[in-house]
Amino acid sequence: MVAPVLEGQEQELEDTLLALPAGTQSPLEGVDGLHFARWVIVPHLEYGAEPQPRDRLERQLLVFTCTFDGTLDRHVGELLAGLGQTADDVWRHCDGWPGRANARAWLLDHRVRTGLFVAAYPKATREEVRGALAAREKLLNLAEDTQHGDPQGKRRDFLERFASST
Amino acid sequence: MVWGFGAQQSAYMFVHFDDGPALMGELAGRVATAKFLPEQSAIVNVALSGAGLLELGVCRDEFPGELMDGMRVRAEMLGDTGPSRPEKWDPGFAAAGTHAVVTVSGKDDQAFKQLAAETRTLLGPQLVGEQAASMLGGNREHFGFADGLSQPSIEGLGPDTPGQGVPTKKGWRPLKAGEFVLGYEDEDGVRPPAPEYPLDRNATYMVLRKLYQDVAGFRRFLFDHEGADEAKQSELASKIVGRRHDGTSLLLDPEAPEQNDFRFGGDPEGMRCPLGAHVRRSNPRDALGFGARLSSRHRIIRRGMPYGEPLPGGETVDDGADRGLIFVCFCASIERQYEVVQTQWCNDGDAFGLGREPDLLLGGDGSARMTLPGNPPRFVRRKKPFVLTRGGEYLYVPSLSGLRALAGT
Repeated sequence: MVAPVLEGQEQELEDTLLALPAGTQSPLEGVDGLHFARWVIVPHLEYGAEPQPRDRLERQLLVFTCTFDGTLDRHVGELLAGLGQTADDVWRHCDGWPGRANARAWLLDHRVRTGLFVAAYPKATREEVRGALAAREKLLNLAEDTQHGDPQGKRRDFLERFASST
Repeated sequence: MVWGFGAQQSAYMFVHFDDGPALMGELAGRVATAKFLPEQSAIVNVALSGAGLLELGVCRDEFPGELMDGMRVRAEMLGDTGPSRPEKWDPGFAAAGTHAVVTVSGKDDQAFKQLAAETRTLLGPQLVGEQAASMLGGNREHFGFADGLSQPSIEGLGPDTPGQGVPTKKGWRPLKAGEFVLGYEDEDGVRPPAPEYPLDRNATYMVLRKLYQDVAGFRRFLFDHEGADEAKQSELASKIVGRRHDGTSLLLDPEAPEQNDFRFGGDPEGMRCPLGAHVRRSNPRDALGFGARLSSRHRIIRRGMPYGEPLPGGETVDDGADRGLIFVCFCASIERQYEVVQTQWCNDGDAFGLGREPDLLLGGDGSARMTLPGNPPRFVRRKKPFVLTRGGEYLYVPSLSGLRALAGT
């Protein structure tokens, strides 16, 4: 989705986004079914050189993209509930933000139809992806830790570490 | 920049302007031009930091954000954390606020010394720090590997050597000049974003880094994994680097005449050259699939040089000396080219199906594992990094007409 940034609030918006915690502390972490998301500020249009015509933006734009599990309708609800106050902190700098309690229609109104859609794991839910990554790391750790051991020791370690997974 | 000079030694001189425009004017009459390069035995070049450009009165918005922010601001993203964080950097190497880096390079010792002395005199009190660098025997770096072998072939400039450009179905093609020089068409078919005339052409961006190499630590790591067997140590080191010590490719017979004409597509599981080997990460060629569509926009021209005296052969106890590599690369976009190589390919393994495994040689600031594919695979782990960042800056290298414009002449 794309929304124009309110004039005079560009720096405050940038500061807000830069201050968002990353990793497991990210506010996006709390959004159910969310695989990947990002906010991008488009401050101006790139100019290469001639013969590209010069063009300019009247206003800066805030772009939000995400990939998620389930339907769009359900996701909008999950997004607003999961982001909580962060939704207001970010989008209040955009035109017409009605506050998160009334933001469903606003989000859908600013949605841009996707021309090319790429999802890293289109057939797996977020929890399945995370489970697979955790299992991979666990298996690699086992392989590293036991690489010099005898077959019996490897089997014993495997059963100990993976007993709860089977 | 695009051809290389074949320098045997360099001096990187760090400058804080008293009178920037006047110095630009002086340097405009001295910097090397490609036209006369073969005739010269020592040359001088100048590159400007974001702070230096602002001091010279340019408009901040015309230049890329990463240049104007400077490398220190990007340090955490670059993986320069822990023992590589900016607070630990060498204060004499591109200290914060450095306006320019003047590089003197020489093929001939006497000519180099003379030009370096003249340049120091010219800079006077504006010279606030200096770093020496010189080639080691056999073009090796301190870990003992031949370096600088794979450089991009560029359209219209010099021979199109197999293995240097972009792999195609039929062979190799050179990269568009706009990947490295502003004002020319790039791989996307347009000219790269650039500042206003005349700073918009025949210019480039430069990444300068001082990378300390823990040679004794690297040798102890090899000993810890392979014991005293030197052949095995050499094989493990080659797997980590992705080439043999003499620079020959792990994918080719060491006697093959063209040691750079190889692709990774024939070794998809990394059985010969590991998926996480340094050269496979930093120049993946066709390793990411889709031909070279995912790698051709992230190429860099490297012009680095070792610094410090070599640690005597076989020594595994650190002598406390400062040694490593002055890493220099050129590209049309530091963010798209250099920073992608550093952050996405060297510091992380996701692009190569390796999860978070970093480049064992370069990436990360702590313990790290490397997977050596095989049947069965083998895992090796370093306890701490072999390479630490000791300083660096992002720079803009103007053309001669750009220099004159900055001088106000």
